[in-house]
Amino acid sequence: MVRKYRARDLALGILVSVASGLILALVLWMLGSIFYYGSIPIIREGLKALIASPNTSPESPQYGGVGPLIYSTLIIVGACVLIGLPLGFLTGLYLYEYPTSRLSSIARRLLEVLVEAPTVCYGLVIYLTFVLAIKEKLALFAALSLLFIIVPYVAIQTCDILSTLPPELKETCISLGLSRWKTLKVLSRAAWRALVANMMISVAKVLGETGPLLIVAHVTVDIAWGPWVYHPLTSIEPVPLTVFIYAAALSALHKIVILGWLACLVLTGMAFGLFIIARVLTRTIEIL
Amino acid sequence: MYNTYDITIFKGASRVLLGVIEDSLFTIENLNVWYRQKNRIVHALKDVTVKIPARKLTVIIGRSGSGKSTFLRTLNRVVEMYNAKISGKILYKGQNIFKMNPQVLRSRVVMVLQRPIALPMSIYDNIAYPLKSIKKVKDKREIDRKVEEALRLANLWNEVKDRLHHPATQLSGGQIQRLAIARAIALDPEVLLLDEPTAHLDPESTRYIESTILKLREKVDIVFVTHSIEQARRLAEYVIYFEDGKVIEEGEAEEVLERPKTERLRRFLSVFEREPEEAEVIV
Repeated sequence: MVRKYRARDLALGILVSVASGLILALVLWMLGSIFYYGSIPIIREGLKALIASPNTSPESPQYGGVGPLIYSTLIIVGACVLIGLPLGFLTGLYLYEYPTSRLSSIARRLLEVLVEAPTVCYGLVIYLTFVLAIKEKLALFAALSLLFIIVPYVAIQTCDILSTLPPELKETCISLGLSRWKTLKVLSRAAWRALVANMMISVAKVLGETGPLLIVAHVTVDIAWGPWVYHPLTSIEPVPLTVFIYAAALSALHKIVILGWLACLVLTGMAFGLFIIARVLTRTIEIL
Repeated sequence: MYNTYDITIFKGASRVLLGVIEDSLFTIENLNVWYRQKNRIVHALKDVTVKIPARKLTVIIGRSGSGKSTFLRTLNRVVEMYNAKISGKILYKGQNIFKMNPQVLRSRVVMVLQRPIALPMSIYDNIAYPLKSIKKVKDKREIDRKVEEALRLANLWNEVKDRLHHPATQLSGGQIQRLAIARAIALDPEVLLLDEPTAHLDPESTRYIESTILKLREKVDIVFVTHSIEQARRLAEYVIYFEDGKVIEEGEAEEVLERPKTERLRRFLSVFEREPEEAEVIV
């Protein structure tokens, strides 16, 4: 009997180890590929690869760089973060503070739907509402489409993080006569590390978001049927990194494909940095 | 003719006079409280009519779930944060508490909870922050004086005077509970509501808290909830016994605890007389 249990334990142990090993190998292979191909332009051209524009001339051996793409990514994500983080945080405070109100329960359900919905839909909404009307592809519209991703995520997480605090902390503040605002300030202070870590993760989430940007930037059609695929590129719009990766993957020009890998490396590096900050913060959360 | 200022003074004076004549701190009439707990409505307090006397240490006793903590939370309207439904009347020194600004009421009738909780800041700021936020004390020297005075009153000064700016979460459970009392008394409350403040503490910390309470009774009115009869005997001047959300018996401590009139209180007390340790488990 004991032998049978031991054999079963051993089999289970081998199975989970193999599964974990496979996943780890897959991740390492992916990261290794990104690092290997992405570092080619940096090795060849140094820091210029992170500053210059992509070189679209087929005759020139120079790669150029992804500078303007990094810049446009930072502008779009920056605008989104600037509007989205306070909006999401304040919505989260409302959900936490008024859990039983009708508005709160409706808002919570809607936000949960937004978190789960395909993000490409948000791009379509913004494109049909603003881009077609104004006939301009502004970075602000791209940021607006990302708001649909960052706000629900931050709001729900803020509410859930505050709900994990001991209820006695809130009761203590209220029993002392602190106002609702001051009470929320104390609670946010108690959970600040988790709240900031959650915000970092949300920024990483929008950083890698492609779907809505593809539509808002209105490049899908250009990429699929335009000169990007079948002809050498003559100029590249300063699109975000994610959109460039998509375009580069379809490009006939090898060096643009390699620059796509570099864009991947830059994005992965940014997301990795944010996750490290989040990890360090959550590891040091004090237990009340 | 009287102006508004005079009328306010008359109103205030009449309230004080009423309080002196009635000699009651709180007058509670037909109080009912319901709250939701896991999709069911709990009728926690049922037609409670009772008076809490001024200048006497009142101890509320009763079994777990008898409504004593809910009663205490209703006295400064903290129960409202749980979306409780309340009916009936509570007069505090002659003033209807449901017509008062809840924040003002809570800064006058301050509560200390059962579980020791430190605000996520330094020991000093745990006392200074409410002082600055609620009492709007701005002068640094005044705040320093208040912090020291409160910590001395709470028997904590000697233990923390060298690490006032360390995080309060590093203190032990007993120290955090005394810090909570210090935080409350620094606000110069008129009434201190203590909800089983020694429930989670060791005997030594309990002794510290009890001596703090005895020291404070000269300065402030105290309403204290406990399930320990021994503690009630040590501290109480006036006792209210709760069972199943109702007040079963009330009166002077000696009268109620030594010569109970009702069978239900006699039965409750007899559990402690049999075997105190066993009774703690039952209650």
